[in-house]
Amino acid sequence: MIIMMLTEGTYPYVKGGVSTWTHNLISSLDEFKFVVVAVVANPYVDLLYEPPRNVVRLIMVPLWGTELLEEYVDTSLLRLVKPKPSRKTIREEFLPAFSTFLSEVKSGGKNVEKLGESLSEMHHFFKRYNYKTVFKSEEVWEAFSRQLVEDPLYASLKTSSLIRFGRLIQHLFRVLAYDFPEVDLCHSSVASFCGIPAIVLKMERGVPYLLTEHGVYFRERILDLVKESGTLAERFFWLNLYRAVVRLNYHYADKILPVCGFNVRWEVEFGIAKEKIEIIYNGVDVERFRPRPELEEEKPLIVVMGRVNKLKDMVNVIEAMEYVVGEIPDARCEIIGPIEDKAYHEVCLKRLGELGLEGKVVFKGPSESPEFDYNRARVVAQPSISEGFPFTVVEAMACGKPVVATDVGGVREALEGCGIIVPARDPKRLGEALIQVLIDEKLRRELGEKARRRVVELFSYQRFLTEYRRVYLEAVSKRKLEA
Amino acid sequence: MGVVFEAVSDLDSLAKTVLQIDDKVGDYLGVAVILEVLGITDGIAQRYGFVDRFSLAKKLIEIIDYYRGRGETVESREAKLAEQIREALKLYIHGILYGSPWLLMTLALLSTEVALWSIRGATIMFATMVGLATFLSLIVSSAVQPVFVRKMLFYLHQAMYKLVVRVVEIYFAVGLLVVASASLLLYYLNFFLRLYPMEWFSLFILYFTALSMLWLAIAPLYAFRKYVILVAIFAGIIILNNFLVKSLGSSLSPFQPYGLYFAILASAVYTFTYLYLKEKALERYKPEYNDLKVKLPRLSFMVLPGLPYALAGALYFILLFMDRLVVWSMSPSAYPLWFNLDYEVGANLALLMLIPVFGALNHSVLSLYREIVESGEHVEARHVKLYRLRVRDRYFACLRSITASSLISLAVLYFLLLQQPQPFFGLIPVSRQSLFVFILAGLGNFFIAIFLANSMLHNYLYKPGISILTLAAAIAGNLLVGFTLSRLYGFEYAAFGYLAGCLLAALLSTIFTFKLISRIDYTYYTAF
Repeated sequence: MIIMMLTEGTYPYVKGGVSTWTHNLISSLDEFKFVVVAVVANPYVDLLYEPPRNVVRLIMVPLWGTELLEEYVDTSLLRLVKPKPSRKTIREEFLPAFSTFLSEVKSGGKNVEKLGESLSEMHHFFKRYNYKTVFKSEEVWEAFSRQLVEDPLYASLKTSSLIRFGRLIQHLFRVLAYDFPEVDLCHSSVASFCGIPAIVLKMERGVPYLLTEHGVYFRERILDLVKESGTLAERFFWLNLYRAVVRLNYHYADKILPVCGFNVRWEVEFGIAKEKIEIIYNGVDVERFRPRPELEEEKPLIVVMGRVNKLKDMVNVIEAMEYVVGEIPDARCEIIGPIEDKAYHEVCLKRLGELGLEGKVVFKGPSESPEFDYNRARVVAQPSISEGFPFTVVEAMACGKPVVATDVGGVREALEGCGIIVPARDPKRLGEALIQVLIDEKLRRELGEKARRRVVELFSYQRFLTEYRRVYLEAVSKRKLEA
Repeated sequence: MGVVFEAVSDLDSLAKTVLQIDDKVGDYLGVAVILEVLGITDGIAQRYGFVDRFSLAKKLIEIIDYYRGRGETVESREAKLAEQIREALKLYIHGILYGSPWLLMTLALLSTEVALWSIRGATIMFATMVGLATFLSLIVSSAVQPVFVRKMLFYLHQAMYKLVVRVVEIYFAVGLLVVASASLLLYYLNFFLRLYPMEWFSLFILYFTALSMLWLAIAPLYAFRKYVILVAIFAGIIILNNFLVKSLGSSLSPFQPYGLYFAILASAVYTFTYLYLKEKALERYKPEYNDLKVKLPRLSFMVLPGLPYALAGALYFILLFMDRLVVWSMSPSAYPLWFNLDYEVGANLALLMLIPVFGALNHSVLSLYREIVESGEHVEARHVKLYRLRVRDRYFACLRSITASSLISLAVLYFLLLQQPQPFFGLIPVSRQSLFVFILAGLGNFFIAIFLANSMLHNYLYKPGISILTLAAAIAGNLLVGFTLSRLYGFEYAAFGYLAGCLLAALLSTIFTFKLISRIDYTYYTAF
């Protein structure tokens, strides 16, 4: 059985939670073969995960950074050269599908089946003709500009925005230009552009499609847009484009597999039937992450595991430490993780200096053995302002450690009575909760034991693998039965 | 939106919020729309002390105008104008520096009698060999350069210096291979056909190799716009050459290539140092960059998109030299092509007029690029005709600027030539034919400048095919007119061929450019 694993901006070129998840899943389910299709922003990336032996093919799809679309496809130039269609062919065979596609994108994919059909037709066309020359034809530009300019919603777009969006469409939908191998199942790790091959294969060959959602793609894009400057018309365009792509993925996926219940609310909001959604929690290796009481340090240590960036809100825990040290003078905090945002790290250091907490809060950098770091702690803190379903919380729980965390994303769902939840951006409450756990040994033991039990029961790696093995086999056998 | 509204505590911050959403909001109605989007109802407007949303919007637009206008005082407008003048001067000087290696060589020849590869008083056979080497080296190197230089710029633009370095390495390796192969091929061609005596042809090979490598070595400097270092290298090698030739023997021309080798080395060393420093600088900001092991696409994928540019480059030099070849082919000697001093003096002096024109060309073409980008940011897509008009007007301004600078430059040069001021022009034997060639070639160069402006725009917009078509027609025109007239009336009439070819190049490229400009929105969309 061959599975096409679709990733975007993650595995195997970028380190992070989703990449680790993908790598673990592929390498552990070695009874299946995988074709990995990795959509990346540009080709200037290294393999950061050596694909396991059951990865039979890796196809990199760079959206930008190449002159020829196929520069990084492992085949000869001559085999890739496709003819340029005549203007008549474009008009008659491509424009109807492209116009439908555009009007659906503009409206956020209201008629998602029409959008899916248009994409399938466009893919069919690009199997025969050169992608870039089609998109650069006068006919395509005319159709594109007319559709947007004549729409009152987009009438105020600047010329440069119109041109930029035209180019963006060409780049973002590059996956349509690729020919994909025969597979039995498609599995995308995000409801985004990388899911398009799965949608097309489903429409063309009936290949089942599974979609795992780590974060909620649409929600994350809205957060991105808030930071962007731009006119209202531009924002509408972006939002509708993302909405259309997300709807498309949700609609054509046979099953949506969020990693936590937090995501389900968004998926239901998009009109997805609950029956189609099945939560499969991320799993941790409960053998590797197990309690090792002998490692716990004598002096009270708080461990924060995470990348240093604004979303992780390390300043929150630094400020909370002011309260903690006030009550427990020998308490220390170690922040373990790579410094992702240097400027923010400087802000953290400045705040540390202002509060006189040098030596009390230490940035340790990334760790190769987080299982030991959790075990050295008396309590693990998680001060973020945004999370999906955080691995770090579950790993700490697996180590039998009490966790004090902010009430964001899927954190509450993970902890569920096995830790203390505090509001985000409230250092005082975070500090108080940490003090409470640090001074109350009985509470610590109770929370730790309950946490460990919960992880073994719900979030174990074995369970995670069993669940995926099951959904894979179910999807493929259902197709066979239907056939 | 609720979050945005909650953050609003007073009119100033509400105005700033509106500006954040649309900093170009035009009137109070536009503000009213944004207020609606923000969820501000008439009821909320009343809480601010206004009758309704529209009266709130009217107040807000006043505050918005204040914020937008802040800093736009008379002083700052003057500063802006001064900045624009500085920028224009910079572009102008860059353009002049672009053409100044040629100026330096001509001045050296005129003042010291020794330039890089020309020596006054050299034999005609020597001049023929060096002239042919110059022509063929330009053709060969210009066919290699664009393929790789485009890639260098592509990765440079993306700050992928590691890849630029690799492309430079491949470029020098491929360049060396191509030059060596071409040298061998030409050597054996002459060996079998016996076109020229082998001892003289060895001199041709020496110059051909050195000059080809020189053009290849300086191409990255041009691409990275390192004009000052380029001029410094040329000035340095001219001085070195003068020293070598004069101290080691003026008749020993083979000493000259030492200067060329020095220039090649200096250019290559500079290129690598420049890239190395860029890379090091980037490493400081991006620690992960250091470990990046990025692959280049295969050579075939790198070469393919650059081929049309390579062809255009080679054709350009064929156009520039076609009339000279026509003249040289009227050989009074036993050899197929023979240097004609009178024609060369006129043609080479005419090239000098281009140096100030390059300044105007650089400034006006870059202003045109800027217009294409900036106008697009201000004009709404529904008013695309206005966008096209603005770009078209800028294009006309570009043509006017080149025309004016060309004609002035040509007139001044003509005046100087007639005056023969010492110590420069007085040294040159300007015959009646040379002056005739100078005038026609000068007019031709005016048209070449127009063609170059168009061609730069075509390259910027990724439309090399237009230059190829134009140049092919221009070469045919040059050959046809030049050959016919020179055979009928005398060698100097080949300059009419040059003029006709350049006129054709200017005319056709302007027509094509005009077509592109009249649909600039579409053209710009298809670029890159």
